[in-house]
Amino acid sequence: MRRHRSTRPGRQPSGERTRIWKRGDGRLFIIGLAFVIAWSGMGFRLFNLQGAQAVELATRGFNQRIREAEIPAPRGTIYDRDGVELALTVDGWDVVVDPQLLDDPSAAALVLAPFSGRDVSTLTDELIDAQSIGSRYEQIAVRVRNDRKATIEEAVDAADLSGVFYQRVPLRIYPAGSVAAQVIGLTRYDDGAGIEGLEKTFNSELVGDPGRLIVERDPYGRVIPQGETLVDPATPGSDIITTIDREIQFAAEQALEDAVERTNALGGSVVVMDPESGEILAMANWPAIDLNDRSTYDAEAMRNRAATDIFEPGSTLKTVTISAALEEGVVTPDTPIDTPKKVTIGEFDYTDHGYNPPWMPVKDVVKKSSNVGTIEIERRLGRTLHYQYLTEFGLGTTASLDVAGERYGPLLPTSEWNNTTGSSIGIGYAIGTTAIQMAAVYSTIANDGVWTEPFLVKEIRPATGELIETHPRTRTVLSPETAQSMRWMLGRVVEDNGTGRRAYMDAYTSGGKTGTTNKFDTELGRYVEATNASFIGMAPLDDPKVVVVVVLDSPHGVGSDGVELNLGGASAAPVFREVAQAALHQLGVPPDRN
Amino acid sequence: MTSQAAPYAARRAREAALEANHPGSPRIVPLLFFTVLVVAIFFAMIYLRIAMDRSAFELDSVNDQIVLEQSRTLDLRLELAQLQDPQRIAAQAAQIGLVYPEEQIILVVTGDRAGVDYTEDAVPVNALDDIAP
Repeated sequence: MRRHRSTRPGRQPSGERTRIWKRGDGRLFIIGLAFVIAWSGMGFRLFNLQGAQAVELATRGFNQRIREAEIPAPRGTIYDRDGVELALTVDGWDVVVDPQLLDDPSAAALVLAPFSGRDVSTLTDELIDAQSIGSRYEQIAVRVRNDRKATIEEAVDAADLSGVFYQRVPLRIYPAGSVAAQVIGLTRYDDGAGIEGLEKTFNSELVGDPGRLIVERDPYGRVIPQGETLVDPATPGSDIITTIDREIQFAAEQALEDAVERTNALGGSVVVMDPESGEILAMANWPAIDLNDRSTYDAEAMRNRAATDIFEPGSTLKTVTISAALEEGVVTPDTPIDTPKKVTIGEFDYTDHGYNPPWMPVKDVVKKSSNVGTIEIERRLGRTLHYQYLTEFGLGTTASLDVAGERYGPLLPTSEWNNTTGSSIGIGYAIGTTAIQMAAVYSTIANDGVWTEPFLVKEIRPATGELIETHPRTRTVLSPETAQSMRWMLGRVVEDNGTGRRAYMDAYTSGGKTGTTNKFDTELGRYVEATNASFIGMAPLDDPKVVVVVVLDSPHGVGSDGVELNLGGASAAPVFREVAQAALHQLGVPPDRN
Repeated sequence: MTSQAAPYAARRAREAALEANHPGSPRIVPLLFFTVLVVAIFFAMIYLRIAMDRSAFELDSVNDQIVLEQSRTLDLRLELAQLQDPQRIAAQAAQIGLVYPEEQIILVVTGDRAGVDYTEDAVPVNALDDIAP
């Protein structure tokens, strides 16, 4: 078969060469050359852009589009024992304007002034000034809630204002206002860090880890769909579940407020503790403070007096002396003790308040709160054992696991005791304690002799990971028999003509001890007339569910029944009754008194 | 062979010869199909791109909605906690004249009175015996 031959120009089928270039082919060549040059140029440029400078240009472009932002970690919530929020972070807004985008500053001021806390003329001047100096940021309102922001937005939209922006900021709110204020504490405005109370103690748990957001945005700041997006999500802070019962806390605060008003006290504190678990159910302090109103912030009112204020416990500490003596078998409740009108040790004369018989059994020493009787018991006990029990009851060191700013009063080692130190400590002088320490002391007696570390946070719930539960330290200080015997004697204090009769409850059996100590003026270097009046007790007596500590700072005056209000039995004991009753109701403890 | 068949045979022979000389010549149908496919893929890609962009916007919008709802949830939790505030409740109670009773009466519901005929003994005696008339 004959093969088909190509008929390309310039070649004849016979294979003879002919002229390649014809007339007009020159133009074709030039056009072709131009194309070649153009394509070569473009190719070179393309190579340059996509090859040689590719990385640099891509990086430059990416950096122009990319926006990196920190995703703030939501701060953990603080709950009470029933899961009610005590501190919660919600969305807040800072409202700002870009003065350069305002068409008419005075018209903007007219709309925004009501939300800024400034009058129209002031805001107008500020906006004009800001505009003239080229400022692009003027704050209108800070930390407004969602509803307030919606109102502002509405007004801005209605006036068709441009240049108003809303910046999201976390807002820490305390739903119960002043309830448990000193316990919960505060956060700083600027960085949200805890600066007081639980907010401070558990700040590292509450803050969480901020995340990172990288997105591509257009020149107007809008996210480019399908653009690069990298989200490293924030880890929210852990939630804190406290042991505080908001109802009991409120009852304690109400009773304390009433007592301060009634007794003209300068301040006071109340601690309610579950003696078995060590949970602090309430910790009230006066003066009070509203955590949501920073304008009334007062460092003095913010102080958690129950943890920071050291006072000489007075007669309430006799319980330790007598418990130790009972435990060591030095005395029994019926052992007769000499109670002369005065005991002189060294330079000091120790006496009792009011008339006491020349001797009385130990149980009456407790009931009548006899100083001389207790001193006699302390001398029989001896300083070594006395000191040992003081430390085992948790004195001379911080008592609680997690109460912010807790202090502890001095407890001298026996090597530094003089001939009166033991006697003075035996009746609650020459030693400093806090309300929390005393709550732990009485909880030991209420809990059949087992000392349990008081604590405020029972659970930490991380957003990820395992729940962290609190396990307080415990130690056995007294035998159950001694503790029971001591409770029985404390029960006599609130009955009949005991010093704590005003703590008597109709529905529940209770026991406790009054305390009254003159305050020591460090400037004057001596004791003064003003007193610290206290009552510490427990209920129900057979199986105590609550221990309540009441301390009033400098109560004075005379009560309606003619009693001196500077005494613990007159001023603090009624507070115990109110608080203990409310707490037992709240806890659902059935009455045990028929 | 008839006289009419001769030109036909000659034409077939020419066509066969031509076909034999151009064995790789493209056919129009596959070419057309390929072109349509390319165009379809081109438009499909554009459509998909638009659809993905639209989805991205919707996703963005849904995310914004989630943030908004989370914010509302927090607001509602806060409102609930504020409504439960004992201070507020006490103030409201005082406003409508509620006061704590001077004397508190405690009712003990023992729950151990199974079988008691409450039609005759409608009020558990343990609970209400002590209430003053």
